[in-house]
Amino acid sequence: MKRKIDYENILLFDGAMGTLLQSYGLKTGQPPESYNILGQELIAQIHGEYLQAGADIITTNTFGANSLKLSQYGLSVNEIVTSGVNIARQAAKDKLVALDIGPLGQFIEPYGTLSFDEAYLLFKEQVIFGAKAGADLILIETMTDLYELKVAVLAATENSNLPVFATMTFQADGKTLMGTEPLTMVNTISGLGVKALGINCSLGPIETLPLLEEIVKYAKVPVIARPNAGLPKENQGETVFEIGPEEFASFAKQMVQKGVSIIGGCCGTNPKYIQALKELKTVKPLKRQIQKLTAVSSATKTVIIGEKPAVIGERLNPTGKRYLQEALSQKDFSVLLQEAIKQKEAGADLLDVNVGLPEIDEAKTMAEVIKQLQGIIDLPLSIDSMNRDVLEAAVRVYNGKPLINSVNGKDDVMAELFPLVKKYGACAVCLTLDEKGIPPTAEKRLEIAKRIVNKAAQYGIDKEDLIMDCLVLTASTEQSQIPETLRAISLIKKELGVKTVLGISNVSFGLPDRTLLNKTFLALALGAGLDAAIIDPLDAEMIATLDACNVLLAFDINANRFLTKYSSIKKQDPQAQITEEDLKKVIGCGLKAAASGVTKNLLKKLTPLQVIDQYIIPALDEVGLKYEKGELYLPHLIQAAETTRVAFEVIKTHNLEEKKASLDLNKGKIALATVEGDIHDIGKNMVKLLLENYGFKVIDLGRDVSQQVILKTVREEKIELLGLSALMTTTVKNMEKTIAAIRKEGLDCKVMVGGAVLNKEYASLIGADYYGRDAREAVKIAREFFKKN
Amino acid sequence: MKINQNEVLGYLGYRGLKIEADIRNLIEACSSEILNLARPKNVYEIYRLESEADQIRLQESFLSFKSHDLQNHLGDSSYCAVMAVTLGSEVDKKIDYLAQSDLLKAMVMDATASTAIEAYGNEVCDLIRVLASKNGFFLTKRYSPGYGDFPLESQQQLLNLLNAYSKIGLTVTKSSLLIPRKSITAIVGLTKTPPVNAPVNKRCSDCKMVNCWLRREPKE
Repeated sequence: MKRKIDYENILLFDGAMGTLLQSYGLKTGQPPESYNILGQELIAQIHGEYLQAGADIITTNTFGANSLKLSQYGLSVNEIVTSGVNIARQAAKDKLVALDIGPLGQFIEPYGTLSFDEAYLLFKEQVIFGAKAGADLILIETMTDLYELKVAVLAATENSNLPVFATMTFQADGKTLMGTEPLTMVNTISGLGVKALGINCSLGPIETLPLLEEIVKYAKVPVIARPNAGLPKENQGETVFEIGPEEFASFAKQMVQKGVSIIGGCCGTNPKYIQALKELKTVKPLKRQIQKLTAVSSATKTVIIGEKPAVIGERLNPTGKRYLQEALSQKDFSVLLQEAIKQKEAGADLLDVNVGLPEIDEAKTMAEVIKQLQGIIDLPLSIDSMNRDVLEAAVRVYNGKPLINSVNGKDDVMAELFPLVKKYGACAVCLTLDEKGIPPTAEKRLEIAKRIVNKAAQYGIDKEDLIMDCLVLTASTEQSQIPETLRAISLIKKELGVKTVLGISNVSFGLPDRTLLNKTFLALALGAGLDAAIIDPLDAEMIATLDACNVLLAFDINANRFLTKYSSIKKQDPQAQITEEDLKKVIGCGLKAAASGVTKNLLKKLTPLQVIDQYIIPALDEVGLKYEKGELYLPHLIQAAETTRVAFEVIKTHNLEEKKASLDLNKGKIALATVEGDIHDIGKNMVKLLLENYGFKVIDLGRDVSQQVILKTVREEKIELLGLSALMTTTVKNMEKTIAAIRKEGLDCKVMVGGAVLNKEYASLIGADYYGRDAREAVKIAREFFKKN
Repeated sequence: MKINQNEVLGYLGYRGLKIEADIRNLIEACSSEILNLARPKNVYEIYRLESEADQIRLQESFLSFKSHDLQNHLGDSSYCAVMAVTLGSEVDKKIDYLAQSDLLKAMVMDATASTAIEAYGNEVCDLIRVLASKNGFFLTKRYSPGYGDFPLESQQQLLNLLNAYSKIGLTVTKSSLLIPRKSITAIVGLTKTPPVNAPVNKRCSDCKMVNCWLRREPKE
């Protein structure tokens, strides 16, 4: 029987389960869910007390009923969940039963080691048993990790037809433990098809109130509040909570007045608290004014499009970039991470990600790149592909509210992609073209934009989630079209009230001094009202133009940002002035800021190979030797290595400019990985840096790398020397397994290992060929190895 | 939380030689960044101990440990405090970010964060000590999973006991690594007799990571 949820009235949830069980003698370290088997009467009694007190919805005693937790106690998910729902179902009669799902207690990769798919399956299992047993809705609660919440919501909506409610728990600083703020939560989760969302646990009602005020501003679905009874306090050896039922109810009333319509309690509350909420049922939920934003989010940052012009960094695109092509096909994602960091530091607000290469599995690669990027970069991402499967793979594993780049006015494209935009709650870049191509006038582009907005509405997509791309043609071939594009920006914004975006650099194709044209066009487009520009943020002139426009268009209030950035006459780093001095000294002393100038100077009279052989390598050897003798410390060695890296970057750019073939020092190719289960990789990164300094080609597979990926790389890249690192005794086991697998496959590859718990004997015990105590020794091993071969 | 510069230098392997001003400035900068980024959280609970032949039981819980070294360490403690502390995830993310863009700084941040979590662990011990001394107890040193024969795998049990995920967002992986990484779990004994080696910080020599790059004593 399907029971209706009455959103037209205030709905009362129940209060705490765990708190009551403890008062009935549950021991610490004992899973409360075990009472679904051992203490069924007690659970039924607690449900009964809450129903008696006036709860419309009771939550099952299944908060931690996932197999990750239950298996530690030898309990089965099926039994615990089924029994939990059955007990509640019998107690509830005509009231509603919410299948309670709490966090898994582990982080998802790349921050943790639990995979997206593993997490999904853990939730799926709970959902299937809970739905089968007769729950009326699914409550996903107490989440601190937005990513985990997204996985849980997907598992719930894809494996049941039940309505899904989602609540997160926040800290006193207004963020979840993982750093998500209310706006980001609402922006991400409300698009995933939940029927209600809000806050539970963690804080008392006092601290929850301002956070709820933020949520009711943006949430398009009913808002839930289930706070704790304040903070726990010790009173004569007993834990009591600081806020009593009456006070709790008065805060609850304020919440309802702000626009909360589903209310209950969390830790520390009991049936008396719910009883005190009963009078709230006589009022009607507030009709809220909802602010509709065009906004994209990462897990910890939301960028509101239209607040000020947004920069979408375009550099993560392998087209025409050999180093990115190579990195993508070798799965060396650190190269992409570095490219992303550079763009962020140059001022990008979003990053466009395109991994389109003919020879790779684009969907798989895209998903992997997205995971890696969101592990370290807090900018929202724009997912750039022509292929539906690639887009789905990416938006699925995306942590936040993504931007899909792009949809257009063709019927089949809209039919293919709008369901995706809707399901994953994404924003979409919409190109104003259709089956007939790009229309020549602004008016015609407006027509297409209108059709796109209307079609999207049929799929339940708000126009706020669409960003219109008015399309840039090249001035060299279609000069008359440039003013039309500018006109289209203002026209579409005025007529449709949607935000706009342009890919700027196309305008200058085929003309000299492209930057001049690009930055001028950027200024014109911003003047016409452009909201987001896809540009190369490393082009300082583009960013400078944007900074100026932000002042002139009154986005940079009181020119505050401009003043900080431009008014102080740039203090020249004294080191940057050294240009005549010896590169050896620069590396030896770790004068990173001087490295670029000195190297450029040297390249005027010497070839890159001469610079490397006569300056860089001897300098590194000298520093390395001193380090070995204990005459200087590790930070000094690393600083010298970082300085060398700068010199190498100059040499690489020089080679590109001189249009020479890419610098192939041919010193040998080495793959590095931190083994499966291990997430500590600072040591591995040091090894990598030093090896690269010496001209070795390093394929960095990253951390927590599975045996399969390592084997595949060794096979396909014909790796002769592999470096593995592991920090703990527990992960050295995986190192041993990986080495055994390499031997078993009969791969002709030597393995060097390093890590905190290893020593020479231990290394040979697990079958390694070489043991490197530190990064310096890894270099020695590699030099020796490739000399012999 | 106070970050001692000399301890950071120790982690970075400095001993004896002259220390450049650059590195001191960098540690200074990293320290204030860590203090900004860290969201230190702690949880601890006191349990009465019951020592059986080869194991220690925590009363009022389902937990017992088979560890000769832990048993030795706790000596005649009649109670123990089980504690967990963390700096939170932001610090880790910043180190990962720097590891891709500025390895020297990443390394110094990492060492600074390690110093910070140890300092924070000591602060929490001080809180426990105040509580203990009111009742006439002394505190032993902290003892963590992975020391001696106290298995690393006990991390999970300690976290379960403290409900550490809900309370402070601390988790442990299948391989028994704590995440957030800059975190500590430990047991401290509460004893009526002053411990022979009065509370000092844990020493590198107690640790199994014989070749840790942060190790202060000579490596193997």
